[in-house]
Order: sequence, then C-alpha cells, then structure tokens
Amino acid sequence: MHVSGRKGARYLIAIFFIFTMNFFIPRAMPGDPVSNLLGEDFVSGKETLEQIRTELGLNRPLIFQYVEYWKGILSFNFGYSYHFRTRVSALLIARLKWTFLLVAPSLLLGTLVGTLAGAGAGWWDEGFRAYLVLFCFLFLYCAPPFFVSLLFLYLFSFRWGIFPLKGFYSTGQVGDILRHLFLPILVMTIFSASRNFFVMRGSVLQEKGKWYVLYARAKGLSGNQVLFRQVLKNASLPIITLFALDFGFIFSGALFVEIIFSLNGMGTLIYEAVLARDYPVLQGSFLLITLMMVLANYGSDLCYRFLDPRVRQDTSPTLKHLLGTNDIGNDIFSELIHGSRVSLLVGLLTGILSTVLGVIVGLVSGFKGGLADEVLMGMTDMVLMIPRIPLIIVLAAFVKPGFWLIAAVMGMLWWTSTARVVRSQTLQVKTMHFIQSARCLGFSTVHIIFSDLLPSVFLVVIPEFFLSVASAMISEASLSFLGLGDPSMKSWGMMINFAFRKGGFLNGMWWWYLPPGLCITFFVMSILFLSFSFEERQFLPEIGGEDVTLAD
Amino acid sequence: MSLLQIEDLQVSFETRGGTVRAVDHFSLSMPEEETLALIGETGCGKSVVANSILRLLPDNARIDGAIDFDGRNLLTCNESMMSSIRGQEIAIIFQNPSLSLNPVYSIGHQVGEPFRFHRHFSWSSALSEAQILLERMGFERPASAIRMYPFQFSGGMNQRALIATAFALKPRLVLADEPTRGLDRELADDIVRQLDMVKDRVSSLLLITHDLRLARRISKRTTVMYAGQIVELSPTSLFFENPLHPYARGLLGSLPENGFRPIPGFSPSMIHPPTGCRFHPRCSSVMKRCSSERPPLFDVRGRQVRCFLFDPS
Repeated sequence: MHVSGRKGARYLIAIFFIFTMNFFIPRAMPGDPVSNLLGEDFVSGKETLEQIRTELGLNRPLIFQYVEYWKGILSFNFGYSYHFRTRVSALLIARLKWTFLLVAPSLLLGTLVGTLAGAGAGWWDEGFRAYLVLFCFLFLYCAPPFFVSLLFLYLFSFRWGIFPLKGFYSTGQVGDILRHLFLPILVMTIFSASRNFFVMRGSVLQEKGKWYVLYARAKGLSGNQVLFRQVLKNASLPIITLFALDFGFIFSGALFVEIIFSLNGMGTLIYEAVLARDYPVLQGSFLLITLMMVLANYGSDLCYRFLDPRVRQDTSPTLKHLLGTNDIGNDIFSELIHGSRVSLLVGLLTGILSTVLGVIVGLVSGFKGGLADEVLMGMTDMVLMIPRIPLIIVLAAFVKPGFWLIAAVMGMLWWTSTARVVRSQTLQVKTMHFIQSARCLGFSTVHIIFSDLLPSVFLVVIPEFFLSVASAMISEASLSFLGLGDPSMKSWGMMINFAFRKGGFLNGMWWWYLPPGLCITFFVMSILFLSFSFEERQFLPEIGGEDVTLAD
Repeated sequence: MSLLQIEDLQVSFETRGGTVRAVDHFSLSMPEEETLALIGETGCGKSVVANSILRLLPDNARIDGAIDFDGRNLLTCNESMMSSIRGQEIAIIFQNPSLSLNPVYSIGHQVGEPFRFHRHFSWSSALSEAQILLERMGFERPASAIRMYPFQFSGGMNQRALIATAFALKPRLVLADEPTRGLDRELADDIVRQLDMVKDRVSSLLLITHDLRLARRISKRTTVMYAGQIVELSPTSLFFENPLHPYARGLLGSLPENGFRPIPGFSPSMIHPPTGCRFHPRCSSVMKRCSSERPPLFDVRGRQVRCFLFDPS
C-alpha cells in the first residue's frame, strides 16, 4: 500500500496545481476580473461594481484571496451564476446527476460488450462470421456519434414512435425515465463498445501467440477455458487504461448525445455556459471534471496494480539501463536503437517507391501530353482520393500485418503529389531550348525523358522524396500504435503501443513512451529540415542560360 | 503391451518458402515404466514429435501416421477428448518456463489448475495441493511460493514449478521438452535431480534434450534424431559406450570431455533435405551409395541404426 499512497500524493499535487491555475487565470487575464469571475451576463452600474469588488475581496492582497478561494472550494461553494440565476454548486449537482445516469451505464455496458466481442473476434479471427463482426464494428467505429444519434432518433422516435423524442423524463417515474434514456444510452454504449472492441481485439491477437497459451492447452484447458481463464486477464489490461481515458472523453462524447436528445446534463451545461460566457459555471465544471479525471485515473491505477503483478516492480532508468527496462526486463535504450532500423527502413522504402512511381508518371504525362496525360492524371486523382490510413487499417485487418506489405501499400499511395509536382515542372522545362534541340537531334522520347528532363526536375523531386519519407514514418508509427503494424518488428511506434498496452501512461513510466515518441518527432523534423535546405538551393540559378529558370 | 506406439509419423508445415518436412517416417514404441531420451541438435524435429503427441501443432501443420496411446489413436481423437488427456494422462514440460507461465496469475494458481479443471477441486483445495507439490519439488517456503508471480522467480524456480504441474495428476506419460535449456550447469543439475526423483512416480518419461549428460543419467534407452529421422535407437549404457551411427559418434565426440571436436558442416535444410542418407554430406565414413540410396533402419544386436555401414548384406 506504500506505492498507492505515493501515487495518491502525486495526484493530490496535480489537483492542487490545477486548482491554483484556475485561481490565477481569471485574475491574470486581460479585462475586468469582475466580469471574468462573474460572467458577461452580469451587468451593473459603477457603484455596484465597486461593491461587488469589495464583496469578492478583489481589492485585498492576492494571498488572502487565494486562501478564501480554497475555503470556498472545500465548502463546495463555486459562486453564483448570473446567467442561470442560481448557485453554481446546486446547478452542477443537478446536472451531474443526470449525466451520470446517462454515462455510467453506457460506459460500463459498452466496455463489457466491446471487451467480450473484441476478445471473441481476436480469438476466432478467421471465417465469415469473424469478418462480419469486424466489419460491423468498423462501421460503428467510423460513424460519427451524432450521426448515429440522429439516425436512431429518426427511426425509433420520429418514424416508429417507440421512444420519446427528447428530455430525461415527462412524468418522473422510473419506467418513464428508462424509456427516455434508452436511446441515448444505446448510442453511447455503441460508441464506447466500438472503441473497446478494437483495443481488445488487437490485444487478444497479440496474446494469442504467446507460449503460456500453448502451455495452458497442454495442461488440458479447452479453447474457451484458455480464452476466459488465461488470455482475458492479460488482454484486458489496456482496457483499464482506455476506461480512464474515456472518463474524460465522456463529457465531449456525451455533449453530442445531450444536444441531440435535448438532455439537460453536464455537456449542455458547459455548452450553454460557453455560449453565454458564464465563467463561474465553466470554472466549476472544469474543477469538477478535473476531480473526476484524477479519481478515475487513481482508480484504474489501483485496478491495474491489482490485476497486473508486474507493474509492482521497478523498471526506472539506472546507470546500467540508461532509459530503464520494460516489464520483461528488456533494455529500452537498446530497443530504441534497434527500432530506428524499422522506422527508417519503412520510411526509405516508401519514399523510394513513391518517388520512382511519381517521377515516372509525372515525366511521362507531362512530356507526352494528350491521352497519356489524361489517363495518368486521372489515375493520380483517383489514388489521391483513396483515404490512406483507413485503407491500410482495412487491409491489415484482413491480411496479416507485415512490414513489407505496409511499406508497399504506403509507397503505392504516396506517389501522387510527387507525380503532380514533376508533371508541372516537366511542362515548364519541355518548352526550353535544350529539349527542343535534343528533339531536333532525333533523340528518342525515352532518351530525352531520362537524360534531359530527369536532371532538370531532379531538384523538385528531392524535397518530395523527403516529405514522403517523413509522412511514411509517421504513418507507420500510427499504424503500429493502433496495433496494426508488424508485430515481429519492434519499431518506435510499436514501443509506444507497448507502453500504452502495458499501462506505462497510467503508471507514469515516462521512459517507456517519451524516448520513442521524441525520436520520431525529432527524426521527422530533421528530415523536413533537409528537405527545406534542398528547396532553398533549388532557387539558385546555377544552371545558367538566359531563359533557364527552373522554378518560378 | 506398450503405452505409447508411434507408427510412421510424418509431420510437415506449409510455409512460404516451401514444405518443411519436420518429421519423417518416425516410429517409436515406449513400454510402461520406461525413460526414453530423444536427442539431437536444434531443429531436428524433436519438439515437433512431442507437440504431435499432444496435438498442439499450429494450423499449418499436416500430420500423418498413427500415435497410439493406451489403445486410442491420438490423431483421430476429438478436441474435447484431447483436452481431457492433456495434463491428466499425458503432461508436458516446455522448454522456456518463464514464457510458459502466465505473467498475471500466481504460481499456486497455475500449478493448481490441473486439479481445478480435471478433478474439479475447489480453488482453495487446488491451492493446497499446489503447495504440497511445490514443497516436494524443494521449495523452501511453499506457502509463500504459491502467492508469488512468475516474474519474481528465477528461471530454475519456474522450471521446477512446471515440473510440479506436469506431475500433479500422476499422468501415465510425461514429455519433458528440453527441461534444462537456458539454465546454468548447477541449476540444470538441480532440475535433473528433481526429475530423477519424481520420474518413478509416473509410468513413463520421454525426455527430449540436446543435453547428453542428462540423457545418460536418467534414461534407459536413447534415440538419436537427425533431420527429422531416427538414426539410432540403443540402450543408453551401450550407446554412450559405443555409439554406432557416425552422427551419434560425432555428437559424443563434440563433448568437451571427449575432445571437443565439432561435426563439420551445418544442419541440412528441412525443405530440401539431402538425397540418400541425410547425413552423408557431413559424414566422415561416407560411401558411394550413401548419396543415392536411402538407408533403412538396420537391426544390430538389439539396436537400430540407419546407416549402410551396418548393412548385413
């Protein structure tokens, strides 16, 4: 219990800082602190303003005000809202009650459904039924929650009249409230279930190949027993992280649902307060949400500690392990260096493939013109319209995610901008004298394209190459983070995915996720700097000649 | 009657590089109350044999032949039948103990699982059974050991927990797949002592290893595998005195106490194994016919050898 006490102290310090910030911001902001503290609905004459100022103690020393502020918070007194004409604390309690009634069941239900469905989909990951379930959840995951809400509202309430259109209750009886809450809770449950589904599915897929699963079968556990008695506990660890994160997400996610179903909860309260510039309500809500976020994090922290015995050990950096170790004792620094190979290789492969494709398409379509141009540019436009990351996600869901596949698919999608840039450059260069003289000398088209055109467009190609390397590296990291990367290659993105799945974020193990994250960021930055330097050099007219200006 | 009778077992894996023929025409018979050592270098198919007996091979595996265990053909049993055999009648000790144990369950939980799932004990009595087993395996404080987690144990301690689990329900056959792999010599000796101690409590033990000392110490008969085939099957005492097959001689010769002479060449590809005798490219007494004809197993005074040197004709 020693560690959880230390964690508790850390969270208390966090609360203290956030609340202190909340005290200073309205007082340091430009404008009259009275209106910053009371909201813009508050209008009064100059005398009352003075009176209020004294009442709020705004002309007393700051330290005194600060003590008063804490006294107010500890007695749950957040001031008075002039917009809603009521005390903020009463307002918050009234609204929070309803939001909780909406959010708590949907979050619990969604986590339960999503976890079980995800576990099943990961365990039995082949066959028609598995793909059908995957596709359904993919659809729900991609559909914006407000769209689903509107659709349900239209079908169930407007069209068929099964459920009421709006509000929390009309008569106030339990059955009535349930009938009112059914649709909003359904939407929120779907929303939360689809998020949990994908995390759980990826997690089970990762766990499935481990030795202990084979060993459990060797001990005579049946397939279901292995899943529920052995794999589930391991695989559900990321769900706890997600649950804590979701807690903060609730308020934004609930906002849409509350607006669409006209529910007076926290979401609509904040929404109205923002519109009315009602600062006391906003501050009160902010403090309340902070408090709940911290509590949720603390709770899931304890849960994690209970479920995973490994986080109880110390993995922090030492002199021997510069960046610490992971849960099974691998040195993070070594992983970081090893991971650079994967990230770099994916970046370079994608960059080379997309550049070669783009240059060829651009040169041919620019130089030949006519039908070739029409076809090639039409193709470019089509490829440009393919949503890149979703396509790879779908591909990875059906094919085993492999390193070469990812690089190849990204290369096949990334070439379009290179093609366009090269084409426009070619169009400019091809009217120049040296091209015309080459034509007059009777050189073949292929010869002209590769010997005369290519060197002149080369300078615009290089920055494009670097850009696609950078973008491929970021995409690879995102894919790995989503658990769709190549599991056998531990890239930087995979390391962050690992930190997320093993609770590194929750438990403050910064050495698990900061080093790979910073490495990606700095590496991409340096590639972009390289590209900038090439772009600058491109404008120097080194080639000479009166009408040879390569870029204008 | 023999407890385990393997007839003409063939296992192959479909991979992108081609078909890997991991086990080729493997026949073996184990009577009750015997300890048999299966030795050979890494990748020769030893573990595949063990996993075929328990039907724990991945989906891309193709198994042919027959594995007869106590009158039942394991290759035609249904999955629920297999589940009740696994852990109860045939148990296995895997080669990487720290990975085989589930990281988030306590040792006691995992050692007690066979009691829970096969014998339907309550969790508390399964745990007390686990405690008794761990005590017998030489754990000093078994009461606290059952509450520990695998990451808090050394590899040797985890291995002992696996051995305890394997012998929990007194199975008729225990497959030990490289039980000393990755352990230092002292720990390995310790494990050997434990195995030696508990092996009398079960009927038969199939010891899969590349640790020749271990094989010599506890087995009655020794089988040598090379590239998916049995090349020699002899009583252990005779085998270590006078190995017959050139590969077996090479194996013994590569031991430090016998002069540390390695066998030249590399293990053959299992996708395109050499024609004729699979060992002929590395063999010091190779003959003309070795590269074209496949040697059968010859009987030599109660021993079996797959080598033309022992062709009676």
